[in-house]
Amino acid sequence: MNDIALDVLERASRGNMDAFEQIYKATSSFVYNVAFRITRNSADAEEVTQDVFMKIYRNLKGFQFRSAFKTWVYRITINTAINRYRKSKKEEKDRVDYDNIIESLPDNRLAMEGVNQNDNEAGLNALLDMLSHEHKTCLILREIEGLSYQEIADTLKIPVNTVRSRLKRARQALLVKAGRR
Amino acid sequence: MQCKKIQELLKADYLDKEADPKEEQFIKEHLKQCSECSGLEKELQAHRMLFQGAKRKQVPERIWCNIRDAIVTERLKQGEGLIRGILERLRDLIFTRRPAVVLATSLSVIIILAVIATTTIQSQVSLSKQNAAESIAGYSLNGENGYVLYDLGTSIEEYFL
Repeated sequence: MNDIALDVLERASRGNMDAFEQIYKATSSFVYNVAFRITRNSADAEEVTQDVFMKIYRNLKGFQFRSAFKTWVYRITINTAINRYRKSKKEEKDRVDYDNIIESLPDNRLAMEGVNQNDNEAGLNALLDMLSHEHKTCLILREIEGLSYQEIADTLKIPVNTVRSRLKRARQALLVKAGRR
Repeated sequence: MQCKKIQELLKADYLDKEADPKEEQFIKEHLKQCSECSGLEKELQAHRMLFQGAKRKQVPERIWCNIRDAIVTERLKQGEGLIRGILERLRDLIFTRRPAVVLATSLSVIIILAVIATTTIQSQVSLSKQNAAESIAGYSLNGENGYVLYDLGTSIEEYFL
Protein backbone atom coordinates (compact mmCIF):
# COMPACT_ATOMS: atom_id res chain seq x y z
CA MET A 1 0.00 0.00 0.00
CA ASN A 2 1.34 3.42 -0.94
CA ASP A 3 2.02 6.00 1.73
CA ILE A 4 -0.41 8.86 1.85
CA ALA A 5 0.72 12.44 2.47
CA LEU A 6 -0.47 14.02 5.68
CA ASP A 7 -2.04 17.00 3.93
CA VAL A 8 -4.15 14.63 1.82
CA LEU A 9 -5.41 12.97 4.99
CA GLU A 10 -6.15 16.32 6.57
CA ARG A 11 -8.01 17.60 3.53
CA ALA A 12 -10.00 14.37 3.36
CA SER A 13 -10.84 14.64 7.05
CA ARG A 14 -12.30 18.10 6.33
CA GLY A 15 -14.57 16.54 3.72
CA ASN A 16 -12.58 17.14 0.53
CA MET A 17 -13.74 14.49 -1.95
CA ASP A 18 -10.69 14.75 -4.21
CA ALA A 19 -8.42 14.00 -1.28
CA PHE A 20 -10.65 11.12 -0.25
CA GLU A 21 -10.46 9.74 -3.78
CA GLN A 22 -6.67 9.87 -3.55
CA ILE A 23 -6.85 7.79 -0.38
CA TYR A 24 -9.17 5.38 -2.13
CA LYS A 25 -6.82 4.98 -5.09
CA ALA A 26 -3.85 4.34 -2.82
CA THR A 27 -5.54 1.79 -0.57
CA SER A 28 -8.41 0.15 -2.44
CA SER A 29 -6.32 -2.59 -4.01
CA PHE A 30 -5.12 -3.75 -0.62
CA VAL A 31 -8.59 -3.52 0.91
CA TYR A 32 -10.32 -5.34 -1.94
CA ASN A 33 -7.73 -8.10 -2.27
CA VAL A 34 -7.52 -8.83 1.44
CA ALA A 35 -11.31 -8.79 1.64
CA PHE A 36 -11.48 -11.16 -1.30
CA ARG A 37 -8.99 -13.58 0.23
CA ILE A 38 -10.78 -13.61 3.57
CA THR A 39 -14.33 -13.81 2.27
CA ARG A 40 -13.44 -15.86 -0.85
CA ASN A 41 -16.26 -14.14 -2.66
CA SER A 42 -16.15 -11.12 -4.97
CA ALA A 43 -19.61 -9.85 -3.99
CA ASP A 44 -18.64 -9.96 -0.31
CA ALA A 45 -15.29 -8.37 -1.12
CA GLU A 46 -17.08 -5.48 -2.84
CA GLU A 47 -19.38 -5.01 0.10
CA VAL A 48 -16.47 -5.11 2.54
CA THR A 49 -14.55 -2.56 0.46
CA GLN A 50 -17.50 -0.19 0.47
CA ASP A 51 -18.01 -0.65 4.20
CA VAL A 52 -14.33 -0.08 4.91
CA PHE A 53 -14.24 3.20 2.98
CA MET A 54 -17.46 4.44 4.55
CA LYS A 55 -15.93 3.69 7.96
CA ILE A 56 -12.78 5.56 6.96
CA TYR A 57 -14.88 8.50 5.72
CA ARG A 58 -16.93 8.66 8.92
CA ASN A 59 -14.00 8.25 11.28
CA LEU A 60 -11.27 10.20 9.54
CA LYS A 61 -12.14 13.34 11.52
CA GLY A 62 -11.57 11.47 14.75
CA PHE A 63 -8.38 9.80 13.53
CA GLN A 64 -5.74 11.16 15.87
CA PHE A 65 -2.71 9.99 13.84
CA ARG A 66 -1.57 8.06 16.91
CA SER A 67 -1.09 5.00 14.75
CA ALA A 68 -0.04 4.92 11.11
CA PHE A 69 -2.90 5.47 8.73
CA LYS A 70 -1.93 2.31 6.84
CA THR A 71 -2.14 0.21 9.99
CA TRP A 72 -5.52 1.71 10.76
CA VAL A 73 -6.81 0.80 7.29
CA TYR A 74 -5.36 -2.72 7.58
CA ARG A 75 -7.15 -3.20 10.89
CA ILE A 76 -10.51 -1.92 9.67
CA THR A 77 -10.21 -4.14 6.60
CA ILE A 78 -9.37 -7.29 8.54
CA ASN A 79 -12.15 -6.77 11.08
CA THR A 80 -14.78 -5.91 8.50
CA ALA A 81 -13.81 -8.83 6.25
CA ILE A 82 -13.80 -11.36 9.07
CA ASN A 83 -17.21 -10.17 10.26
CA ARG A 84 -18.55 -10.39 6.73
CA TYR A 85 -17.10 -13.87 6.28
CA ARG A 86 -18.66 -15.07 9.54
CA LYS A 87 -22.00 -13.68 8.48
CA SER A 88 -21.79 -15.34 5.07
CA LYS A 89 -20.63 -18.58 6.60
CA LYS A 90 -23.67 -18.67 8.84
CA GLU A 91 -25.89 -18.25 5.84
CA GLU A 92 -24.00 -20.79 3.80
CA LYS A 93 -25.21 -24.31 4.32
CA ASP A 94 -22.81 -26.33 2.28
CA ARG A 95 -19.44 -26.51 3.91
CA VAL A 96 -16.39 -27.24 1.83
CA ASP A 97 -15.69 -30.93 1.79
CA TYR A 98 -12.26 -31.80 3.03
CA ASP A 99 -11.62 -34.35 0.27
CA ASN A 100 -12.40 -31.76 -2.37
CA ILE A 101 -9.90 -29.44 -0.79
CA ILE A 102 -7.18 -32.03 -0.93
CA GLU A 103 -8.06 -32.85 -4.51
CA SER A 104 -7.97 -29.21 -5.48
CA LEU A 105 -4.47 -28.75 -4.07
CA PRO A 106 -2.05 -28.64 -6.94
CA ASP A 107 0.96 -30.88 -6.96
CA ASN A 108 4.14 -29.32 -5.57
CA ARG A 109 5.98 -29.74 -8.83
CA LEU A 110 3.20 -28.03 -10.74
CA ALA A 111 3.03 -25.25 -8.23
CA MET A 112 6.74 -24.67 -8.60
CA GLU A 113 6.50 -24.56 -12.36
CA GLY A 114 3.56 -22.19 -12.38
CA VAL A 115 0.22 -23.86 -12.81
CA ASN A 116 -2.91 -22.78 -14.56
CA GLN A 117 -4.19 -19.66 -12.85
CA ASN A 118 -7.59 -21.15 -12.09
CA ASP A 119 -6.10 -24.21 -10.41
CA ASN A 120 -3.77 -21.97 -8.50
CA GLU A 121 -6.70 -19.84 -7.36
CA ALA A 122 -8.76 -22.83 -6.32
CA GLY A 123 -5.81 -24.37 -4.51
CA LEU A 124 -5.09 -21.16 -2.67
CA ASN A 125 -8.69 -20.69 -1.62
CA ALA A 126 -8.87 -24.29 -0.50
CA LEU A 127 -5.73 -23.88 1.57
CA LEU A 128 -6.97 -20.71 3.20
CA ASP A 129 -10.34 -22.22 3.94
CA MET A 130 -8.75 -24.90 6.06
CA LEU A 131 -7.24 -22.38 8.44
CA SER A 132 -8.65 -20.52 11.40
CA HIS A 133 -9.29 -16.79 11.02
CA GLU A 134 -6.22 -15.95 13.05
CA HIS A 135 -3.90 -18.12 10.99
CA LYS A 136 -5.51 -17.18 7.72
CA THR A 137 -5.22 -13.45 8.41
CA CYS A 138 -1.55 -13.67 9.34
CA LEU A 139 -0.78 -15.72 6.26
CA ILE A 140 -2.63 -13.38 3.89
CA LEU A 141 -0.94 -10.30 5.32
CA ARG A 142 2.45 -11.94 5.14
CA GLU A 143 2.33 -13.99 1.93
CA ILE A 144 0.01 -12.00 -0.28
CA GLU A 145 0.39 -8.44 0.98
CA GLY A 146 4.02 -8.80 2.06
CA LEU A 147 3.68 -7.11 5.45
CA SER A 148 6.55 -7.48 7.90
CA TYR A 149 6.10 -9.22 11.25
CA GLN A 150 6.05 -5.82 12.95
CA GLU A 151 3.38 -4.47 10.60
CA ILE A 152 1.22 -7.55 11.14
CA ALA A 153 1.69 -7.21 14.90
CA ASP A 154 0.64 -3.54 14.79
CA THR A 155 -2.35 -4.29 12.60
CA LEU A 156 -3.68 -7.14 14.70
CA LYS A 157 -2.53 -5.58 17.99
CA ILE A 158 -0.62 -8.68 18.98
CA PRO A 159 3.05 -9.22 19.94
CA VAL A 160 5.55 -10.02 17.19
CA ASN A 161 6.17 -13.42 18.75
CA THR A 162 2.50 -14.24 18.40
CA VAL A 163 2.70 -13.34 14.71
CA ARG A 164 5.68 -15.66 14.41
CA SER A 165 3.95 -18.56 16.14
CA ARG A 166 0.71 -18.08 14.18
CA LEU A 167 2.57 -18.19 10.87
CA LYS A 168 4.45 -21.27 12.02
CA ARG A 169 1.23 -23.04 13.03
CA ALA A 170 -0.55 -21.98 9.87
CA ARG A 171 2.18 -23.42 7.70
CA GLN A 172 2.34 -26.56 9.80
CA ALA A 173 -1.44 -26.95 9.45
CA LEU A 174 -1.18 -26.64 5.68
CA LEU A 175 1.52 -29.29 5.56
CA VAL A 176 -0.52 -31.64 7.73
CA LYS A 177 -3.75 -31.09 5.79
CA ALA A 178 -1.94 -31.68 2.53
CA GLY A 179 -0.84 -35.02 4.01
CA ARG A 180 2.79 -34.21 3.64
CA ARG A 181 3.83 -34.01 7.26
CA MET B 1 17.60 -31.93 18.03
CA GLN B 2 19.22 -29.54 15.60
CA CYS B 3 16.79 -30.54 12.83
CA LYS B 4 13.76 -29.85 15.04
CA LYS B 5 14.97 -26.38 15.85
CA ILE B 6 15.85 -25.67 12.24
CA GLN B 7 12.47 -26.90 11.02
CA GLU B 8 10.78 -24.47 13.42
CA LEU B 9 12.86 -21.64 12.03
CA LEU B 10 12.13 -22.75 8.46
CA LYS B 11 8.39 -22.34 9.01
CA ALA B 12 8.70 -18.73 10.08
CA ASP B 13 11.80 -16.57 10.34
CA TYR B 14 13.87 -18.24 7.62
CA LEU B 15 11.04 -18.43 5.08
CA ASP B 16 10.01 -14.83 5.81
CA LYS B 17 13.55 -13.53 5.78
CA GLU B 18 13.20 -12.32 9.35
CA ALA B 19 16.05 -14.46 10.71
CA ASP B 20 19.27 -12.72 11.60
CA PRO B 21 22.10 -13.17 9.04
CA LYS B 22 24.14 -15.58 11.21
CA GLU B 23 21.10 -17.79 11.80
CA GLU B 24 20.25 -17.71 8.12
CA GLN B 25 23.75 -18.74 7.13
CA PHE B 26 23.74 -21.57 9.64
CA ILE B 27 20.42 -22.88 8.28
CA LYS B 28 21.65 -22.71 4.69
CA GLU B 29 24.67 -24.79 5.60
CA HIS B 30 22.46 -27.31 7.36
CA LEU B 31 20.08 -27.60 4.39
CA LYS B 32 22.96 -28.62 2.16
CA GLN B 33 23.61 -31.63 4.36
CA CYS B 34 20.11 -32.61 5.60
CA SER B 35 17.64 -34.06 3.11
CA GLU B 36 14.71 -34.02 5.56
CA CYS B 37 15.05 -30.33 6.33
CA SER B 38 15.70 -29.39 2.71
CA GLY B 39 12.60 -31.41 1.72
CA LEU B 40 10.54 -29.42 4.20
CA GLU B 41 11.99 -26.19 2.90
CA LYS B 42 10.94 -27.12 -0.65
CA GLU B 43 7.40 -27.90 0.46
CA LEU B 44 7.16 -24.62 2.30
CA GLN B 45 8.49 -22.78 -0.74
CA ALA B 46 5.89 -24.56 -2.92
CA HIS B 47 3.08 -23.28 -0.69
CA ARG B 48 4.65 -19.87 -0.78
CA MET B 49 4.69 -19.94 -4.58
CA LEU B 50 1.01 -20.73 -4.52
CA PHE B 51 0.32 -17.63 -2.44
CA GLN B 52 2.66 -15.36 -4.27
CA GLY B 53 1.45 -16.57 -7.63
CA ALA B 54 -2.07 -15.50 -6.74
CA LYS B 55 -3.16 -12.89 -9.19
CA ARG B 56 -4.14 -9.59 -7.65
CA LYS B 57 -7.75 -8.77 -8.32
CA GLN B 58 -8.63 -5.56 -10.10
CA VAL B 59 -10.90 -3.40 -7.99
CA PRO B 60 -14.20 -2.97 -9.89
CA GLU B 61 -14.78 0.66 -10.82
CA ARG B 62 -18.37 0.59 -9.59
CA ILE B 63 -17.13 0.35 -6.01
CA TRP B 64 -15.83 3.93 -6.06
CA CYS B 65 -19.08 5.13 -7.70
CA ASN B 66 -21.09 3.41 -4.96
CA ILE B 67 -18.91 4.89 -2.24
CA ARG B 68 -19.17 8.39 -3.71
CA ASP B 69 -22.96 8.07 -4.00
CA ALA B 70 -23.21 6.82 -0.43
CA ILE B 71 -21.14 9.76 0.81
CA VAL B 72 -23.26 12.28 -1.11
CA THR B 73 -26.44 10.69 0.26
CA GLU B 74 -25.03 10.75 3.76
CA ARG B 75 -24.08 14.41 3.43
CA LEU B 76 -27.56 15.29 2.22
CA LYS B 77 -29.10 13.41 5.10
CA GLN B 78 -26.80 15.22 7.49
CA GLY B 79 -27.92 18.56 5.97
CA GLU B 80 -31.56 17.60 6.28
CA GLY B 81 -30.88 16.31 9.73
CA LEU B 82 -29.33 19.61 10.74
CA ILE B 83 -32.36 21.61 9.57
CA ARG B 84 -34.73 19.11 11.14
CA GLY B 85 -32.73 19.26 14.35
CA ILE B 86 -33.00 23.03 14.55
CA LEU B 87 -36.76 22.90 13.90
CA GLU B 88 -37.26 20.20 16.49
CA ARG B 89 -35.27 22.18 19.00
CA LEU B 90 -37.41 25.21 18.37
CA ARG B 91 -40.56 23.13 18.65
CA ASP B 92 -39.32 21.71 21.91
CA LEU B 93 -38.56 25.14 23.23
CA ILE B 94 -41.99 26.41 22.29
CA PHE B 95 -44.28 23.47 22.92
CA THR B 96 -42.70 21.21 25.47
CA ARG B 97 -44.30 21.57 28.85
CA ARG B 98 -41.91 22.52 31.55
CA PRO B 99 -43.47 23.15 35.03
CA ALA B 100 -41.19 26.07 35.88
CA VAL B 101 -41.75 27.79 32.55
CA VAL B 102 -45.52 27.21 32.73
CA LEU B 103 -45.67 28.58 36.29
CA ALA B 104 -43.54 31.60 35.42
CA THR B 105 -45.58 32.32 32.31
CA SER B 106 -48.89 31.98 34.19
CA LEU B 107 -47.69 34.27 36.96
CA SER B 108 -46.48 36.82 34.43
CA VAL B 109 -49.83 36.77 32.64
CA ILE B 110 -51.73 37.13 35.93
CA ILE B 111 -49.51 40.02 37.02
CA ILE B 112 -49.84 41.78 33.67
CA LEU B 113 -53.64 41.35 33.69
CA ALA B 114 -53.82 42.57 37.27
CA VAL B 115 -51.75 45.64 36.45
CA ILE B 116 -53.90 46.44 33.39
CA ALA B 117 -57.13 45.95 35.38
CA THR B 118 -55.94 48.13 38.26
CA THR B 119 -54.83 50.87 35.90
CA THR B 120 -58.17 50.82 34.04
CA ILE B 121 -60.22 50.95 37.26
CA GLN B 122 -58.13 53.77 38.64
CA SER B 123 -58.51 55.82 35.47
CA GLN B 124 -62.28 55.20 35.48
CA VAL B 125 -62.59 56.30 39.12
CA SER B 126 -60.55 59.45 38.56
CA LEU B 127 -62.60 60.33 35.49
CA SER B 128 -65.88 59.96 37.47
CA LYS B 129 -64.52 62.10 40.30
CA GLN B 130 -63.40 64.71 37.82
CA ASN B 131 -66.82 64.80 36.17
CA ALA B 132 -68.57 65.14 39.49
CA ALA B 133 -66.25 67.90 40.58
CA GLU B 134 -66.67 69.72 37.34
CA SER B 135 -70.49 69.52 37.64
CA ILE B 136 -70.46 70.87 41.18
CA ALA B 137 -68.02 73.57 40.18
CA GLY B 138 -70.33 74.54 37.29
CA TYR B 139 -73.30 75.19 39.68
CA SER B 140 -71.38 77.22 42.14
CA LEU B 141 -69.34 79.29 39.78
CA ASN B 142 -72.29 80.31 37.70
CA GLY B 143 -74.71 80.86 40.61
CA GLU B 144 -75.27 84.55 39.78
CA ASN B 145 -76.01 83.95 36.15
CA GLY B 146 -78.42 81.13 36.76
CA TYR B 147 -77.82 77.48 36.15
CA VAL B 148 -75.38 76.53 33.49
CA LEU B 149 -75.48 72.92 32.62
CA TYR B 150 -72.28 71.34 31.44
CA ASP B 151 -73.33 67.86 30.95
CA LEU B 152 -76.96 67.32 30.26
CA GLY B 153 -77.70 63.92 28.95
CA THR B 154 -81.36 63.95 27.87
CA SER B 155 -84.15 66.41 27.22
CA ILE B 156 -86.09 65.21 30.36
CA GLU B 157 -83.09 65.95 32.51
CA GLU B 158 -82.80 69.32 30.78
CA TYR B 159 -86.53 69.99 31.45
CA PHE B 160 -86.37 69.23 35.19
CA LEU B 161 -83.23 71.18 35.73
